Amino acid sequence: MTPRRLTSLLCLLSLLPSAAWSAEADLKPAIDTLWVVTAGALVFFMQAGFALLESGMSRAKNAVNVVMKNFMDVCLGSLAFWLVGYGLMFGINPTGLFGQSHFLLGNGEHLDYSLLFFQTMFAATAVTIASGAMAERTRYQAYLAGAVVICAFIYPVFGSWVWGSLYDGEGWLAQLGFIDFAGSTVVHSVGAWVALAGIIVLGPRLGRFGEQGESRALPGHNLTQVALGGFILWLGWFGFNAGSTTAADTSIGLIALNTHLAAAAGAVGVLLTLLILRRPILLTQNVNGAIGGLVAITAGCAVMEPLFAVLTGLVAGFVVVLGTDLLEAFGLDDVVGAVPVHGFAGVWGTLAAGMFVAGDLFNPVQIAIQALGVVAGFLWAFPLALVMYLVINRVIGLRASTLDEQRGLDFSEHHEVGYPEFQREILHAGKE
Amino acid sequence: MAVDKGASAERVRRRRAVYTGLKPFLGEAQLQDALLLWSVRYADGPVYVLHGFVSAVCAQTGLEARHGEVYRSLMRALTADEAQLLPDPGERVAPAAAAQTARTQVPDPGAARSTAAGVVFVGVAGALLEALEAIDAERALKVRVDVMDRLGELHLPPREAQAVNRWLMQQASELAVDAAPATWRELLHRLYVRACELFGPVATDRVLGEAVTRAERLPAAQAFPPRNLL
Repeated sequence: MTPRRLTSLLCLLSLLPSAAWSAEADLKPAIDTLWVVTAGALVFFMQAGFALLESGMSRAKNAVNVVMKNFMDVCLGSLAFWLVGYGLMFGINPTGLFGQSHFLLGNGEHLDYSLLFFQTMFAATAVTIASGAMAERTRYQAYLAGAVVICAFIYPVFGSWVWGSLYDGEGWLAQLGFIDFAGSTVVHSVGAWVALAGIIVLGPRLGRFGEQGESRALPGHNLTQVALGGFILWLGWFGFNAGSTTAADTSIGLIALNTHLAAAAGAVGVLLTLLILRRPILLTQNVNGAIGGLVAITAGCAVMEPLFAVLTGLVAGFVVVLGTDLLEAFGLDDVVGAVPVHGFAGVWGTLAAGMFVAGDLFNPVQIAIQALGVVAGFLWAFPLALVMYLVINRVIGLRASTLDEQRGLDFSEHHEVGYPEFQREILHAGKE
Repeated sequence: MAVDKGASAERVRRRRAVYTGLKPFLGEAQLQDALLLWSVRYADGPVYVLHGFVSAVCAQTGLEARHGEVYRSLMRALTADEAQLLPDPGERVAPAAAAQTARTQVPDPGAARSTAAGVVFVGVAGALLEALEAIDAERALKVRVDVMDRLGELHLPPREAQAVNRWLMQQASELAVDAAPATWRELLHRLYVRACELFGPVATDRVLGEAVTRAERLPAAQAFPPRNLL
């Protein structure tokens, strides 16, 4: 090599670090977008998990109806969120109460589209929580009407209080320092309070409680499906929590690990609770325990150490079992346990996110802010949903008739049957 | 058909009053017939319709001359304290009625003929009630009595209502009623709902499925498939 060539090569090499840095900077938005969209797709996959879990926990004659509700609430909810919800939740928020721009989003920046896609999946998750609780006795059209209102209004307005600082302004809870990284309260508790309102307006399924108020188990038709649904939800949750960074950064590892550990601890929490109470170790409750752990860690997955993620999940397991008992004691029929899993565990997880902040453990001010956020979530979502379902019940009719319950909603709402080879004897012969 | 417990309690109180008011004048069999008539045609009506009820009872039992006396006795019982009333005859209707089955098997020349739907209904509902009795006879009886108590809501003609009543109370093994399939479907549904409330939907769905399978072997099932009743 001649000296001249050597000099040229050295000059080229000296340029490499800055070129690499420049290329990395150019690629960063693309990598972030790739991560957010991939995470959004994982969150979308959670819908399959909900559909499997909820239909598996329902009786065979209602399986199609449950899946149909899961399927269509995503469709209608996504459109409603694009039209109105995203603007209310993430638009410019001068008052701290709701967003006022970015409705019917178009002509946006690349980040707008990625976030809208990702957040649409969150809205769909919030709305689908109610479908499981209200399963087996809710009229299809009435349920979907509620789903649109939830996605267009109830969920995004509360969301703006916590996350509404994307373009300009800041939600009032965010200003206080409320921690809800991926939505224990924003998504899960809000969804659960809506579900609670729904099951109160609906009343229990025919014969769910005896004349003396005693609880009767109405086992789901496919427990294998429930377990598969649980696994899919668990997988999707990695996108739910780790995707909430909205950037491909190094924090994703801790978030994913915390998510996983909390889910495992949630299932163990249920196992221990059932053992202590000397009850049968039910698959449904174990799966719900894992989901309870996932819900609970959602708020604090980015701010706590793994040891506290385990503690958060473990306690969530206790909360799920005892919360289920509490609902039954009040004569409330929640088919899949959505209220204890998403509501009560969400409350616990939001408080835990304030208690277990790495480097700032048990800060009473933070815990008080967390409690305020929890109460605000309930006071916003529950009464509003109660009024909404009462109005829907009055105008459209929320509760299916007892004849429809006898025949099953698959037939009465859709003229379809989930398992025609096996259900023949209890089905009405004609389509009328 | 969610049963209003307050309304149900009031109905039981009135049934006890009717039983108490008529007891001095009628034998046990006549009392059962009178109570069936009251539950089908008069239980849901205002107080003044009881005048017609007393007239009908007196006409059937040869008590026309004592109409005023019977009416006053009934009114006294209806306004009496609960403690003064005899126990609810509803709980005793079925055993007493079963003993009378032979008496009531005499064909009624004016009765309608059974339709295929009616025969299939008897097959399905009979098997359902039989299976419920095998689980818990007392609760199964309650299903029969509670459905009978609300039979007036079906607005059946009196003769047909009486026939359904007798069948429900096991006083007749056949149902010679020419009713539309929708009526049989509604009646079966009412049995199903009450069974769900008392036995739970899991057991009820199971026995209903078995009852339908059994009824599919009936010859009448060729003309009217049992699943049309569901």
